[in-house]
Amino acid sequence: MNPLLDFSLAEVLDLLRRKECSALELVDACLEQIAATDPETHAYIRIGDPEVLRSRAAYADNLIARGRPGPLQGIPIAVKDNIATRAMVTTAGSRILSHWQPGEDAEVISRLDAAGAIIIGKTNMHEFAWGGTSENPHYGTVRNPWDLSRLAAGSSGGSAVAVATRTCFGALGTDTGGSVRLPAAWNGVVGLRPTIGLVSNRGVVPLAWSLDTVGPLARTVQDCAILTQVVAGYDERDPSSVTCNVPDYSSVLRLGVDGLRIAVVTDFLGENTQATIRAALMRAQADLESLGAQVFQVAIPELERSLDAQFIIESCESSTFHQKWLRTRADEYGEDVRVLLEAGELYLATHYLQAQRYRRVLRSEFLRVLETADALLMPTVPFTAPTIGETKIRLESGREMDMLQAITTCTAAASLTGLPAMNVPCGFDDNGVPIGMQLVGKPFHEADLFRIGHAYQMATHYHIKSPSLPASHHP
Amino acid sequence: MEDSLANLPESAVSVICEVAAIRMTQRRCDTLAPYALACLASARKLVEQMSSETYLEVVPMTVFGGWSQGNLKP
Repeated sequence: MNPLLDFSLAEVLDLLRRKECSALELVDACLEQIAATDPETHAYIRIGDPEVLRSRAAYADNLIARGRPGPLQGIPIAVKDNIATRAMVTTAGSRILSHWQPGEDAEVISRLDAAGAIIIGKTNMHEFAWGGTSENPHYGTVRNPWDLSRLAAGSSGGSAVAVATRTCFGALGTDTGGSVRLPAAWNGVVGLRPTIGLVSNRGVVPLAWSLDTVGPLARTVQDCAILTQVVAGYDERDPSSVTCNVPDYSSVLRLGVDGLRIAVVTDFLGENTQATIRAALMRAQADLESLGAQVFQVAIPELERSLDAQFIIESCESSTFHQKWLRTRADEYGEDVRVLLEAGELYLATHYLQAQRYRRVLRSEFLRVLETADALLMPTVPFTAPTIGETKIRLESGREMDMLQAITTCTAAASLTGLPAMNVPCGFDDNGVPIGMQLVGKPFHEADLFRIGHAYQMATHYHIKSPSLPASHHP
Repeated sequence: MEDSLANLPESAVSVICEVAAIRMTQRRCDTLAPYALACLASARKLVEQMSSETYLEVVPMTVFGGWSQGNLKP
């Protein structure tokens, strides 16, 4: 593997500005690494045209040489394939949209482009983002690079694997019920679900519009902060976008966690959570305390019905979006997604409305707890990556659950409440596959999550380890 | 309610699909029915909670809003 790929996004930005490497070298290194790893991982649906990518890199090198680089000038970034790109077909992981050439870039793509990023390719995903495993019948199953027999999670599985395998320096995914945080956890990378409304959804193929948001994935919290800075902010053409000040995230990283209050949510550390994950969370709690954070425990009783509400809303809204295709092109969906969409047609209107009312209850509870804490700490997933093909999971307690429900146990609450939530790698299980912890913050206080996550990564090494896949040959 | 759902003839699902104009084969209906019935059973639990007196009193009868509504401005 080209040693340039071991640098973080922040480090490589520095190398570019000091002219110790070029954007052209970065693009070539990423393309070589994709060629070496993607046949195993199926992280990408489409790779950018190498000549177009090299010409963009040459343009970036020219701007850097003239001292006028954008904040991501010359950095190869991967993008989930449900985010519209004019330059590349956007499939949303589906056969139905297999030839869709959008007439306009999504807002987040325009922002990446204005910042100088180079879109290296479009990443694989669960079909239409409606699922948590990224087992895609049309474009192949995304495989976990830490153990290729295991699931990568989803729906943004390709984006997380693309980052973990060093084929790009950051990626965009989308998160409805956990689709950025889940694959981030199982692939050992950082993934942020921003506060709903902070990042524009315009040009993103919807799953469930009241829950959807674009979110960045990266190797480090610092890199995640840099990406968030570029894509966050009001978009007058997105009705769900919120006018708010976007702080300078990178400048808060050095503040550390001294004095910050972190509440460990005990509801997620019970008998359903794997013992290795409980132990990793306890170690993280101790590490954060030793860094100066005030850590205490809380319980949130209203959490019990969060999965029910999540599934009702996600089902009803996605089935509404897909209503016409379900009646005219049902054969073109993968079986698992088609069944979910059909089931979404069977809920009552009162189910949906009660679920939306429940969100108010849950949000009030979370905001009440967040009056006494700056962030909440909980697992991202209660179990580590199982083998590909499993549709049910036996939890630590012996209880058997449907995979999609089980995987979103800990992520649904932040989705329902609209609060920001970030996965940070915090260990490995006995099989050597990653464990993630989830930090949930106050609305629009992503900066607090970045402070905590960055301080934790400065004191730990989990984010430095990389999976040992066949890598591109570099002389 | 869970008992009655469990006893609901699975062919009822195909009737509902017919009403909703979703084309169903018997094989598809066989796949959908158990999953759909489990979904509806869990929805029932949420409805039982949210229609209780406690929540009728404290939660407004409005759809969940964004940050600009109510007292939830950042």
